[in-house]
Amino acid sequence: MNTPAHAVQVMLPTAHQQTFAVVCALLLLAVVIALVRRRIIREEYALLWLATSVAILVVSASKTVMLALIKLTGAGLATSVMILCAILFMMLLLIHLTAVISRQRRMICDLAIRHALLAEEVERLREQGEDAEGRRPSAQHGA
Amino acid sequence: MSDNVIVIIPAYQEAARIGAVIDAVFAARPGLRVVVIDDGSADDTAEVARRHGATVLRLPTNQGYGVALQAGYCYAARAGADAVVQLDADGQHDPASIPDLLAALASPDVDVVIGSRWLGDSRYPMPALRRWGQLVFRAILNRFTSYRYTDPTSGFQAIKGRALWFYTSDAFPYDYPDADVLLMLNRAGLRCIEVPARFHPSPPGKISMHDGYKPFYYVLRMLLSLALTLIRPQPKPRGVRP
Repeated sequence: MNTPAHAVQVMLPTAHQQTFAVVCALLLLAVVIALVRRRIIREEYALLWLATSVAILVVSASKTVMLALIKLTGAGLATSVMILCAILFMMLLLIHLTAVISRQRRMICDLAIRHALLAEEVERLREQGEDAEGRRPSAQHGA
Repeated sequence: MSDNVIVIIPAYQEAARIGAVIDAVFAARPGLRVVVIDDGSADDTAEVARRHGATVLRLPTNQGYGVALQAGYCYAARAGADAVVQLDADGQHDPASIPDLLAALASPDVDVVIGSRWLGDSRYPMPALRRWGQLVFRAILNRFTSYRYTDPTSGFQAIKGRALWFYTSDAFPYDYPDADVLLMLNRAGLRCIEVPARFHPSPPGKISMHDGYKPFYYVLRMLLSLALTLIRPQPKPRGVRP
């Protein structure tokens, strides 16, 4: 009997590949947790990394989830699914970081403007103070 | 126009030219207050400006033209200015045209006055690429506004009242505020008109936004900004920054 043209031949990962993927996922999760714990990565920016680490771990450990993903994407190889997921995650992360940088840039601009305004105010007040100091002795002398 | 008019001049590495520009502003109309925004210059721009009678705002690092401009507008808003004139520090914008801009701004229904290099008898040499770029922006702007603009990229402007909220808001672009700002202002219901103004050629050796790859970035950035302005919600006037 011929295989239908649309049928996809699914190739699940070998035990060796699966073990390697699980170890990598655990390592990634451990690194992310360590960085968050030491506040090198802040919680709000670590969510995406933590979610991804857990997702990779689940996909790597469970053949059922892997099979479901392969069926969903129509890919033939488990490794293709993993690479596709990695690329999607990287793009998501880059978009997230671009948004963060954009917000930071706006804040830096605001700070620079406020700094300039306050520095000018301080300078003006200092000059006024010096002028007042300069006038005081002569005024007292006159009185 | 009231006497509480502030002239803001963003400047970067302009120690050689800023003094003459400030003198020309005071000569054009006595009583104006001049504020120079030193955008992190490494030369004596700030000292020269002070010596010539200007108030100086110093940005801690080089932040770009738009941020320097916004710092000037924020200062003017805090100082309660009735009108603000912006011009470049390199002497391209002739301060002798300031009274013409302010006279047009005195009309109650006008919010922003643009000094146009293409109206009147002004002769301004512009490279073909820039000229074409400006024609494209002009066509887009004139398609989506009711006014026929001739010089949408002019940085020689006078503004008052309701317009000040926009120039101090988050919506103000911090790299190249140009034709996109005009479109935003029009969409917000503000009236922007043009008057003839004298322009001089850019001085040789000046660091310009038209050097290297920057013109290409500028054109793409401006086209994107114009497109985004059209699809974003219409901005609503609100209070200026404290």
